[in-house]
Amino acid sequence: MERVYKKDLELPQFTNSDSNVKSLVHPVQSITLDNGRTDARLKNFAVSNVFGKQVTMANDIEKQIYSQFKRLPTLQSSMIGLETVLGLDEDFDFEDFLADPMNSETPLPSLHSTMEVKLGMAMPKNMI
Amino acid sequence: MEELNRGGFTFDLCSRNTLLEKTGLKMPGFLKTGTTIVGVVYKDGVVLGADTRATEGPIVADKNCEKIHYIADNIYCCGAGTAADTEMTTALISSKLKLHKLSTGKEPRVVTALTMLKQMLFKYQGHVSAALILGGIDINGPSLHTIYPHGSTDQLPYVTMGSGSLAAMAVFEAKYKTDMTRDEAIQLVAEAISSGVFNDLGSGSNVDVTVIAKEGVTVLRNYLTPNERKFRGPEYIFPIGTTPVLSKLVAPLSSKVIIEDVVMS
Repeated sequence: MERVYKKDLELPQFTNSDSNVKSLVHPVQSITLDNGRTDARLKNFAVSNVFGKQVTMANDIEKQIYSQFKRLPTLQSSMIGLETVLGLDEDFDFEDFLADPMNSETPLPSLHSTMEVKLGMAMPKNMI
Repeated sequence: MEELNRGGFTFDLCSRNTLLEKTGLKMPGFLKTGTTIVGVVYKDGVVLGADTRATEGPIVADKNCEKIHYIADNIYCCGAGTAADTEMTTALISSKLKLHKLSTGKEPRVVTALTMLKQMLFKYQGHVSAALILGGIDINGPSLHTIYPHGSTDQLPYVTMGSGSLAAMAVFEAKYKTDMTRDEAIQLVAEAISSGVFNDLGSGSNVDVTVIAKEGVTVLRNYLTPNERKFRGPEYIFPIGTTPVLSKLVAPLSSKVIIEDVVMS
């Protein structure tokens, strides 16, 4: 019985692969890069132990479906479905008010060139 | 979730700083913080107290700042550590709690705020340097917690935080008793903060007190002002001629200045 439980116990890794990368300039950067993945893993672990693997899988599929609805590249996608599933509509975090990408200083690439790359009509700049 | 494209902390200046450091520039480093904040549970509520000195290293930046922050109508929070971090943390949790209240339709509890705070602080691994005292009253009665910058918490009937915590705790250890009245609790808190104000160099100026009871919250801003600036007294008035004039020389301006006529073409 105990062995079966241990087999299911895929303990989440608290260190993420990004934290050992030399190019990071600040320790908090690895936490930001983690992007709640550790959190999601912990939640999945709890959910799959309480309700079973199928619930986690159903949730994952739901998230995948909702993350597919996007506007054209360089236009802001609202992602309302995904935000609702993740509970972000009823939460508030640093990501909601610090460095809003809509007010970013760095200019966005043009829609046409991004779309051409996406459709395979042009090579991405870093490959030329 | 990469798809979301949200904001957050930016690290552009960090890479600039590491680059500058490589060229041999000496970085100024962190500034020392100092504070005394306390909290006491009494018979039917919580009393929070704080000093009002804000320091940036050896300099007093603000002589009358506010360190007791609003979280909800029944929850308040004292902050020690980096002022920006404590302000942003408490404001963020206040917003989170408001959204939580709107979605559940129930009055927020102190433990809810506590859990939100510790989860956030633990996530940032102590880089958000906020040492907090969370006090409030809910259906479980009054409660008081301390939260350390790394996310660990304590629950006690009387707590102190900041560089003046030892001075304040000495007063609590000597004079705290269970089931105090409201006035006794305010008196004890004021005494503890005063101890921090007078014995700790990082703390100073006035004493702020906030009382959270079932009936409502009383904010006693500048409850004690033991460090008022002294009145300078009447101006000195000297009669003309008090200082004798021994000699007088008026150099004519023409000896210092050459006047030239420039012909305009």
